Amino acid sequence: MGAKLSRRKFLVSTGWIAAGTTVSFVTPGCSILPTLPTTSDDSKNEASSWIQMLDDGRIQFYMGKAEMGQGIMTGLSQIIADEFGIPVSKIKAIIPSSKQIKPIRMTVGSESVETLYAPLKLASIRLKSNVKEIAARKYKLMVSKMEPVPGGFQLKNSSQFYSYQKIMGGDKNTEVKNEPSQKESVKSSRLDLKTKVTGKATYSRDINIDGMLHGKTLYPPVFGATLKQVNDKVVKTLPGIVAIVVNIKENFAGVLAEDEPTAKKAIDLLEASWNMPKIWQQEEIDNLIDPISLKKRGIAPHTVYSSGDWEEGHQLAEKRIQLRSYTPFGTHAPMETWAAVVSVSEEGVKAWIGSQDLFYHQSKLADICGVSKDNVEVYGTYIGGGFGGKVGIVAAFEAARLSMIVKRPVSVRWSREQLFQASYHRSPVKHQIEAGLDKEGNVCFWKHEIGSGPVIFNPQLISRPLQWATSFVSDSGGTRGAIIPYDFKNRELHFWDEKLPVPTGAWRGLGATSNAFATETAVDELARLLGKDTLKFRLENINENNPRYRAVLELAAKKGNWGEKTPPNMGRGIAAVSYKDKTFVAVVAIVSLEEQSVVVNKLICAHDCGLMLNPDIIRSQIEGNLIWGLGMALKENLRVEDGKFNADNFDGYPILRSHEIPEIEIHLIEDKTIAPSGAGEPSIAPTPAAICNAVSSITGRVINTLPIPEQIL
Amino acid sequence: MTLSINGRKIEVTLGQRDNTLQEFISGLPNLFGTHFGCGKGLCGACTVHLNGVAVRSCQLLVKDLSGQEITTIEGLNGGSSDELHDVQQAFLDENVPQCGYCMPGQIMSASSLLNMDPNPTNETIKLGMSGNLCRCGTYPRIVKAITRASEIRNQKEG
Repeated sequence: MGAKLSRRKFLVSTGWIAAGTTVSFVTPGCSILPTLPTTSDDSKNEASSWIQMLDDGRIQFYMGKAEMGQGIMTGLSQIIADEFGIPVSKIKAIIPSSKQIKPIRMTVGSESVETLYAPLKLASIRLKSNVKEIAARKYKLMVSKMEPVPGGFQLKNSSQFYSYQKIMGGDKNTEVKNEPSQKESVKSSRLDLKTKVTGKATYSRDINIDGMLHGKTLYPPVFGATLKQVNDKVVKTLPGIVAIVVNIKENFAGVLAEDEPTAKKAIDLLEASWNMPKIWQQEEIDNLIDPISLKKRGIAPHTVYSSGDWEEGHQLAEKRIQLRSYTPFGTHAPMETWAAVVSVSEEGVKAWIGSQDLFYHQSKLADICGVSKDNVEVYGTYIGGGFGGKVGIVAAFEAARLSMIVKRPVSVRWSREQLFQASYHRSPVKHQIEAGLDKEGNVCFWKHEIGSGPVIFNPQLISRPLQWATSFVSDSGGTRGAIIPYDFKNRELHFWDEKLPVPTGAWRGLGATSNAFATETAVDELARLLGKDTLKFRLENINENNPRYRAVLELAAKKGNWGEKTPPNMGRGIAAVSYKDKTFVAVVAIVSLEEQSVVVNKLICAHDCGLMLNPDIIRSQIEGNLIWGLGMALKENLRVEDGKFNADNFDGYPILRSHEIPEIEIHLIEDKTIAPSGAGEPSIAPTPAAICNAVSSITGRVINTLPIPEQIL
Repeated sequence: MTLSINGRKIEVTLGQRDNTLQEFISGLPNLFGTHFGCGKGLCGACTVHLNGVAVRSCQLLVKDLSGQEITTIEGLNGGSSDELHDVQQAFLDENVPQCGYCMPGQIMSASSLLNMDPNPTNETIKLGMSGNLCRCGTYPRIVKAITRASEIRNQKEG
């Protein structure tokens, strides 16, 4: 645009570094301040506007977080239901549109319950107080004489009971049964079950609007290829084709048809030639994030943590380890690909998008369509799997561009191949851990270097102008869980986040799983050097201020029969993670080697996330995480070959199937005085490490690559 | 030609004959429960019944289906708006769905499995359901739900 901000001013005004502010936009379409995911909100004050009591005593709740399977619709409704002493089924939870609530922070990081617990409780208390006053006026009672009881109010020293339903006028009878109290919440059904088993739940891929067209788009044949020329000679003649939209400068080529099969046929037939860039291979990408290569190239890391003097510790050490570990590209692979419907008309913009950030899409669509945000209404839907991969959905931006041209609703539904090749993925990560033991067997230095592509600063979501700014801030998603709660002396944690030719971003657990894989296998190595039991070594080294970390390790070990004798081809491994220092989880894996392949027999998990609103939902998240972590350990591997990924469907990227799931045992620790923390991600993090440690307990050798290589013996 | 879907005859235009069954169903109003996952028959999200047997609708062409009876998730419980099919009820009772996108396909596969083997072992279930992917990891609960459904069904039949 014209204004030349100094670097420092620019960083501050984007709000990315200044805490607690959301970026706001001055002029749509030529904004200096680019659209960013929604990082903050005013939920403390806004929560009251999300809930209201209906005539029938139920509570309507604009549930603004993304329900993508993690059960947040039910979890948050539970907070409200508990306060009113009504069953959670009496909460009418609505997935709102952007007009019905003020901007709310994106749904990420297993933090929704943690951050909204107090605001929702407070809002519920306020609402209950309002209802009490309504009752007092209606029945001419003194507020001070009314006691809240499950389902309504009772007059002190009397059995006179006023249900919410009665108070709100929805019930004409004077006799109303008192609804059962809330501790059925222990195994309450989720609110979204019936709609999902009947196939009635609507995902953005299912949306059908009158007059809707189907749009399909081209994607580059290799990473970085740009559109040169498009030949629509053949496609133009297909019956049912409405438009072919090409913008070479924007690298955009799409077709519009009356029905989806025609659009599919058309995009397959559309001839395009591309400017070919450098063709990348996996080894070159790995080199970009290799700590050794980075240091050779003189690129300084961010120092995330430093205590003591690691070089001094290095001198003191009698035994040392140097571990170089690697986790590859991975992909979210949600069962529903990217899809969205956008309708641009004279009245404004309406969109149906199942995403993790409603308001980011509202802003982005406003930018693309050149209108103000007030003219853009985005409806949320159920999401067929998010896992970090639906924070920004390019299909929605494409639908907006196409709809702008024809002024009709457009549905863009990405194919599985397109999602594999053209969305953003989990970055590969390279670790180097150097650590040493002094003559007493204490860890006298621990230096961990991490090289990764972007995790939080996803280049697909953050436009070019901001990408250079982000290089001044360490991508804290990549270091999640890397500051481990052991009393190791002289510690260093260094992190590089390097731009890659392939878009990468957040996925389940962010960097925590890769980091736990590197650190917990290194901890096992240290124990092995000392000839010590790996559990015992951990317990001896846990910081005394971390009893919860100790407790999950001990519980998992106990339930996993740690120390029990096993046949020579069987072993146990253990790993634990302190996730954001709020959720603590340990996994024991029982593994056997059969004909040189790894068989995971059982996974035992101990999990502590504070007060549990719905233990069954928490269990379901742990099950999902353990299975995902197992898949990472055994199967999931995406590689760049000749400029593109070597797999673009489930045949090349096998996620686990039902016959590959071992026995899973989950033990929950709950201290009701500790506020609820997250369960959607934490248990994925220690899982691959536990499995690898189990294999190492048999072979005596550390595993430093995921998935576990075929040749491990 | 016409297709019979959930007991109703639906007209097929000339242009639609080369569509896959999944594409055809997707274009029909109110039948959006049959989901697209991969387009290659690898994930099972598009599973429907063909004459009562589970098939991947993305792998079948409309022109080959004349005279066949097709059932989607919407038709599984006979179209009743209140009563759920045994398998649907079991999936509900066991709190199976998370994101829910794979659920119609899972339920169609499960009901077909039970039709063919009313007393499946855990192993039979796991193998029989191995064509249906679930990224949320609900597999253990799916196995429990199918076992539960088979027990309920056996009880009903005395």
